Amino acid sequence: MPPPLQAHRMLLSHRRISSGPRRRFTAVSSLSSAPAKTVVAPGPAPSSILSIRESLLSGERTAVDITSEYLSRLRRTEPSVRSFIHVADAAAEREAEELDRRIASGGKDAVGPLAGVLVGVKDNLCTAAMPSTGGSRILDGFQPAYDATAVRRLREAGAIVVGKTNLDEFGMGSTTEGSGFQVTTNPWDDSCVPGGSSGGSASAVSARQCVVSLGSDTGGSVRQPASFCGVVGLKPTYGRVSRFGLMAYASSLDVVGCFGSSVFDTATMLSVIAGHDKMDSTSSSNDVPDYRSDLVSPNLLESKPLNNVRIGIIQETLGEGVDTGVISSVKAAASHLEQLGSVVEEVTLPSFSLGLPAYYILASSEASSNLSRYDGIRYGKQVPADELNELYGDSRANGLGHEVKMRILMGTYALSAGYYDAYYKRAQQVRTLVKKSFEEALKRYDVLISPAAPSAAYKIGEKTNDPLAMYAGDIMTVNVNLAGLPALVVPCGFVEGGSAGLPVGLQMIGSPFSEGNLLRIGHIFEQTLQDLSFVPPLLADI
Amino acid sequence: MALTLLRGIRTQTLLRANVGLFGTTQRLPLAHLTTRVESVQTTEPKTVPKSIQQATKEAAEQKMQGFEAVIGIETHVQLSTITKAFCSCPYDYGSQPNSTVCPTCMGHPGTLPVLNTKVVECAVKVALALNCEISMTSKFDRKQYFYPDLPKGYQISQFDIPIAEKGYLDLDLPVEFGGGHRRFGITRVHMEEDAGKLLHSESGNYSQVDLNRAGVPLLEIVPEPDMRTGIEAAEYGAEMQRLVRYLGVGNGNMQEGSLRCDVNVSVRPIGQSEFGTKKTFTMRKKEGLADYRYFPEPDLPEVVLTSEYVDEIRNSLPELPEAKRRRYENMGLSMQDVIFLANDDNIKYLPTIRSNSSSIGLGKPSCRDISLAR
Repeated sequence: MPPPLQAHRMLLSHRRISSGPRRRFTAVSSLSSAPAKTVVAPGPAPSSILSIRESLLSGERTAVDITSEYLSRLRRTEPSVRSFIHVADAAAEREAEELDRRIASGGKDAVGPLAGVLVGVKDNLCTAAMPSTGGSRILDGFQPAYDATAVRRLREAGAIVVGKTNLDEFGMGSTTEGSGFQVTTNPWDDSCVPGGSSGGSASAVSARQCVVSLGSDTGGSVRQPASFCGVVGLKPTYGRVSRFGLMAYASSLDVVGCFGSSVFDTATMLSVIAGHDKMDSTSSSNDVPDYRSDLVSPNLLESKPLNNVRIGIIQETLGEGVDTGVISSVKAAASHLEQLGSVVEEVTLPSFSLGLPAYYILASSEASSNLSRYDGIRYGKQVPADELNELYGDSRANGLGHEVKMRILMGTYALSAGYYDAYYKRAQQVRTLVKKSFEEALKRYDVLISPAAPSAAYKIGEKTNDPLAMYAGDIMTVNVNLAGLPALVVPCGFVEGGSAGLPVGLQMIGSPFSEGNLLRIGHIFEQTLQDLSFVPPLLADI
Repeated sequence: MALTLLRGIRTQTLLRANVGLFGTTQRLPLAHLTTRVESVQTTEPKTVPKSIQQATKEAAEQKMQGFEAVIGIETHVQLSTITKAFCSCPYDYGSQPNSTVCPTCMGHPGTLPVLNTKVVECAVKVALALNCEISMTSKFDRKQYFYPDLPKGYQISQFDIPIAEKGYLDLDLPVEFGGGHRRFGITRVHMEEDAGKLLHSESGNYSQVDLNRAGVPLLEIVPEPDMRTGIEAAEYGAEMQRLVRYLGVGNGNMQEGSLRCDVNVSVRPIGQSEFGTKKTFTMRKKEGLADYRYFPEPDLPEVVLTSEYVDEIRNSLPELPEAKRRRYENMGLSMQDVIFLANDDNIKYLPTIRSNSSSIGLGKPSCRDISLAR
C-alpha cells in the first residue's frame, strides 16, 4: 500500500533525534535486484517509488489504480495549486493500462525502475507528445518534435508523464509568478508563492499530484522551491544530466534536476536520468553509480552513522538579511548532523557575496543569446508585419514577458562592444574565484551546509515590483551554479506561517560528482528527523 | 574565369569610385566595393571586348596615378563532410528546400550543437596546407545577429582563438600576365557554420526560408592585405580553389556557393601605409551597425588537439599545388606547363610517356603528356 497521506501535527521547532531504543524495520535499500519484502512502516519520508513498485510486483494494486489515485488528488488540488500548464490525464491512464497489460503478460520483467511512477515535467523540458511552452506565451501551443533526454530516460524506465508543470518564463524568476500562463500557489499556504522557477514541479510533488518531478536549476530554481514547498530537491553537478531538450536559459549554468517527497525517490530518479548523452557535448561521461545503493534503512544505521563526516556551515549564509526562523532551523539541523556523528564547523567563503552580481551578468548575457531564436520566424507566435524588423520587434514584444525582456536587455548590454570586459569578462573572473573558494572549502569538508533560501515562502505579489529584492533571494544558491557543484535540499524545519507552519530546507553542497555522498547524508538526515512531517495541510482537508 | 571577373570588378571600382573613395559623401551604389564573386559571376559578361577593356584600363590608370589598390579576399570554403557541422543532417546542393533539416539545425528549443570531428580534420588540413600556426586549444564563439536565415539568432563561429593563424600561400602568376612568384600572408583560418537561404517571391510580397544549408561547415580564410592587382587577387582565389580540391575538403564549386569570396578593395596613395577613411558596402543589411556581441559558445567544449593528431594529418596530406609546381619546375618544364599541369589534381604528369619527347616544355603539352588519373 502506498503510504497514507496524512498531515501530521506540525511542530514549529526542530526536534532532535530520539535517544530511545530504535525500532527495527526491514531493509529498503536493495531495490534493484531483490525488492524489499516489507513495506516501510510509518516513519519519516517513506519512498513512494518503492511502495508503488512493491504494489505492482505483488499485484496488490495495478498501475491504473495508482494512476487514478494520483489523478483524482490532482483534480481536487489543482484548482487551488495550479501546478500544471498541461495535464495529460488521458495519456497517463492509457499508459497505465498498457503497463498493466505488460505486467500481466510479461511479468516482472516489464516493471522498469520507475514503472507506474507518475512524473511531472517542468514545461521548459521538451516533450514530443505534449505542448512545451517554457512558460512563455511566445511558445503557446508549440509541440516539440522530440523528447528531452531526461524525459526519454524516465519514460524508458517506465515512468508515466502526467503533465507539464508551471514555471517562471524560461526559468527566469524565483516565484513562478513570471509564468506567461498562471500563478501557482504554495500547497502549504495558498497565499504564498511556491518559489521558482521550478515552482510547479515543487508544488506538484508537495501536493502529491505526482510522485516525482523534473525541474531545472540555473541559479537555484530547483533548490529554492524545494525549500518553499517542503520537498527534496536535487541540483546535480553541471554535466551530470543531459541538457538536451532543456530550453536553454543560461547554458553554462543550467542543470536538469529532480524533486521527490523523499531522498530515496530523488536518488532513484537521478540514477535514471544521469549519464553521458551524445546529444549534449557538455554532459559528463563519468560513471553513474546506483545512487540508491548507499541509502541504508534507518534501522540498520549505526548509532553514529555520520562518523568521519566533516561538515562546514557557511557563515556568510547565516547573517544579515536571513530570517531568524531560517537560521534557527538550519542551526538545529546542524546539531542534528552533529548528533549523528559528524563534525560541524563554521567555514567562511570570502567570495560568497560576489557571486550574485556575477551570476546575474552571466545568466543574462547567455539568456540574451539563447532567447534570440524566439523570433516568430520558424515556430511560436508570430505577429504579422510589413517589414522584417517590425516582425521581430512585435513578435518578441508580444510574446515575451517583462522579466525576460529585462534580462535580455541586461545581457545584450553586458555583451556589447566596449562593455564586455567590464561586465561579462569580469563576471567570469569572479566565477573563477567563487569556484576556487568552494574548492578550498571542500578540501577541508565533505559537505558544506547553508539554508536553501534566506526566508521561507513569502506572499504572492510581495516582490513582483522589486526585482532586486527577488534577485537577492537567490544569494544562497547562485554560487553553487557558478561553481557547477551538486547540491541537495532536504526539508529540515518550519517557520511560522500558514495554518501549519512553512517549511525550511537545508542545502548540502558537495564536490563535483559527489551526489552519492550528498544523497547518503541527506537520507540519513531525513530518516532520523523525528516528528517532522512534510505533508502539506492541503492534503488533510481532502 | 574568376580572373576575368575580378578584373571586371577592379575596373569598375576605379571608375566609379574616383571621387567617392576617400570618405566624401558621394553615395556609391551598393556592392561595388565589397561584393561576392559568386553573385557577380552570373551577371557579368565573361569577356569584355578588347578595345573597351583597353580603354577602361587606360582611363583607370590615368586616374589612378599615384594610387595603389590594396585587396583582401575573405574566402568561405564549404566543407564536403557527410553531415553538417553540429548535427547529423546530410547536405546535398540542390535538394528540395527544407528537406535536410532537423530540430538542431532549425534552431528548435532545447537543441544543442555537437561538433562533427571531420570539420576539425578538414580545418587542420587546410591550416597545414596554408603553413599556419595551429592553435592546439581553440574554442567556438557565438556571433549574434538577427536574420531569418539564421535559425538560432547566432552563428557558431570562432572569434579570438581561431584554429589557425599566421600562415602564407605561395603561387605563380600566369605567364601571360607577366608571371612571377608571390607569397600572400594568411591572417587566420577559422571554423564556422553556414546560414540558410532566403528565397524571395517574384512579387516581392513574401520571402521563404530554406534551412538546408544552415549548419553546413565552413572554413573562413582571411589573408593579409598583400594583394595589389586584380590578377594577384584572382590567382589567390584560383589557388585557394585548387588547394581545397587537392585536399579533398570541399568541391570548390563557386556556382554552388561551395567557395565564396568576399573581395575587399581599398585604394591609398602609394607609399602610405594606412588606409584612408574606410568605407564598406555590403550586399545585405543585417542588423544596424555590426556589434556581433561575440562570447564563448557555452554549449561546446574547447577544441583540444594533440600533436600526434596534427602529425598524423600532416603525414597524410597529398602533394599540394605549390610543391608540384616546384617539382615540375626542377624537372625543367616551362612555367606555362608547370602552371597548367598543377592546375588540376586529376591531371598527373607522367615522365615515362614524356621521355620520348626531346623538347621539354615547349608549347602546350600534347595529349600524350597528360593522363587523367583518377
